Amino acid sequence: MTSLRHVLLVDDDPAMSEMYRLGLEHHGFRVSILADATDLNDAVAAEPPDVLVLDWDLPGVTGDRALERLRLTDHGRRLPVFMLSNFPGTRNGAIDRTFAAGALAWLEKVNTTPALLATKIDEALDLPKS
Amino acid sequence: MFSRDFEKRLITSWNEGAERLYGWTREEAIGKMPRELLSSEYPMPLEQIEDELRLHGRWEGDIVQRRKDGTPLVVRGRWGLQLDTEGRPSAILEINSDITKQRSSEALLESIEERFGLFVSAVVDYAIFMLDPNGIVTTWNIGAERIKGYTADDIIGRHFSVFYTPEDLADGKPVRALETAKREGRFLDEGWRMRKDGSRFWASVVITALRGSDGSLKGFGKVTRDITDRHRHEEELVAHAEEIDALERAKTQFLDLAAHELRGPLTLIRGYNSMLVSGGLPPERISQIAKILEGRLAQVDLLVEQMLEMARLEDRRFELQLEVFDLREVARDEVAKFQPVAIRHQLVMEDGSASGIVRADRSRVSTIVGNLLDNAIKYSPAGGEIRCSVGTAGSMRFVTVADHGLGIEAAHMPLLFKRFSRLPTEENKIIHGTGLALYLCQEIAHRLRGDIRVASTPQRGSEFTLRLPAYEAAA
Repeated sequence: MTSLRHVLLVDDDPAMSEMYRLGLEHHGFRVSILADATDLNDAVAAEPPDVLVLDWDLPGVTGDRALERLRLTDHGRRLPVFMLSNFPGTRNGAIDRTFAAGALAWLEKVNTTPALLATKIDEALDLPKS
Repeated sequence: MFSRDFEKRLITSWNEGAERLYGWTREEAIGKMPRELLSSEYPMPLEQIEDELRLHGRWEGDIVQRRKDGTPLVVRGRWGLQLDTEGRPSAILEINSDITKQRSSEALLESIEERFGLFVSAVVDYAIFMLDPNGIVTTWNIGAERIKGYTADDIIGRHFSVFYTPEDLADGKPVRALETAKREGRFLDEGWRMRKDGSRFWASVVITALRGSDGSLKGFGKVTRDITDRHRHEEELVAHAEEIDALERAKTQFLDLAAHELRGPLTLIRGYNSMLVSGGLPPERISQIAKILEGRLAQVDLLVEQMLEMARLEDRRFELQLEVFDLREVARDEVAKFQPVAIRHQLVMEDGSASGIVRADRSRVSTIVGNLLDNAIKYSPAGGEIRCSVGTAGSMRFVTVADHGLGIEAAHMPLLFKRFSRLPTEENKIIHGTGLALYLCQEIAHRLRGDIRVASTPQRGSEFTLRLPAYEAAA
């Protein structure tokens, strides 16, 4: 079943990533998980996902900074990315940096059920590619 | 002007001026004695005046008299002696001019000046004194003596810069003060000043330039008040306001943090619930997920409990449930409770043999020990051994939780037990917390007549010790 669309989920809370993994798998995605963004570029290069879902509040490097770095790599340049976080990103400009780095949306976890995330990813992947 | 016989003292001539001044006509006056007619009060015995006239031929002096209508008047008398052909005194010519008005305003002025001087010297609450144009003290009042500690003898003739602190002297303040007063008329200041004994007081000072009618500088008037008490009170108010301000900011920050802490569990509950509803949850996973949710609900419970406990403390609704128990039991229970959470850590319980019997609020002591263990786990993200031990130190029993974690910098120690405060470290951006737990633990420990102490080495680990008074069973 390698034709399943591949979602890479980065979240340091195992309970969170497990919930979204179960939900996305139920909607027909293949999901891989990273607990932090340290090895994000390598992981994307090794097995390029169709969509990246990033938590912002990560150990070591925050989601927006990780995304900025990813955009400098071949595999990361055009990757559709969702920021998924309960962190109030307006407070420190994280939201602005996230959109500047080309994320599709900043989703609040508390308002994003796994089913909603699946819908968002579906929509993003059905967008005509330029 | 009138004249009178030298020997008989009877009036012999009386002119129009005299009629106007005294109200007596020429006819009425002639042949009378001036002393009786005018009720004259001379500044010296009349005989003495007459001796003076005999000797010098003239006399001047002020005489109090009465007019015909009885009103008093003061005259300046300029008397001259008239001699007969043989050179003997024959008559006195009295030229008396009315100086009543002049005298009364002079007297008034004199008495005002005198009273004002008395008033200034008697003022106790204000130091009021004068400086000459160079700043040398020339007058001194009782208030100045009381406030500054110098007597008039100590200070008159000395330069007023002795009242200033060494810092102000080095800064040239006394010179500037006089310059300002000279230029602008006055100089206003509040600041520390020195007493004779070297102690300081907070002074309110006004220096006023005193100029003569020609504009030349005559010196300075200086009024100083000791407002140390008011100053201290103001400083206390400012400090208090700043404290309240800081607390308000901390509370806002806490609400932010608490909201964030609650959103995590909420996300999971809502997410899993939506999957239960839609049937997207594999049945074989349900029991495992229920356990995860239970754990998160316990976190929410803990946070809500902390918020309630804080409200109880602030509201003075705080009540302790005292009972006698062994700290070892509580410590063992808490270590057992945290064992499953501590995945990367080795939790070690060291019972010791000494009794840990205390009389305290068991559930709150459990919460404190639980919090210390929770912190030890949270703040040693790399794992390692966490050792919990119970022991005796004098009349106290203690529980110690020691980790090999991040440790606490000495500079951050004062923040540790402060309400809503989280240490401003890089790691704390990732490690969640509300900054309430240790504050509450310490508050409760104090109410149980104990305390929490910390020993820590940055990057090596921390050791938190809860101490409670030992329970000695009454006979």
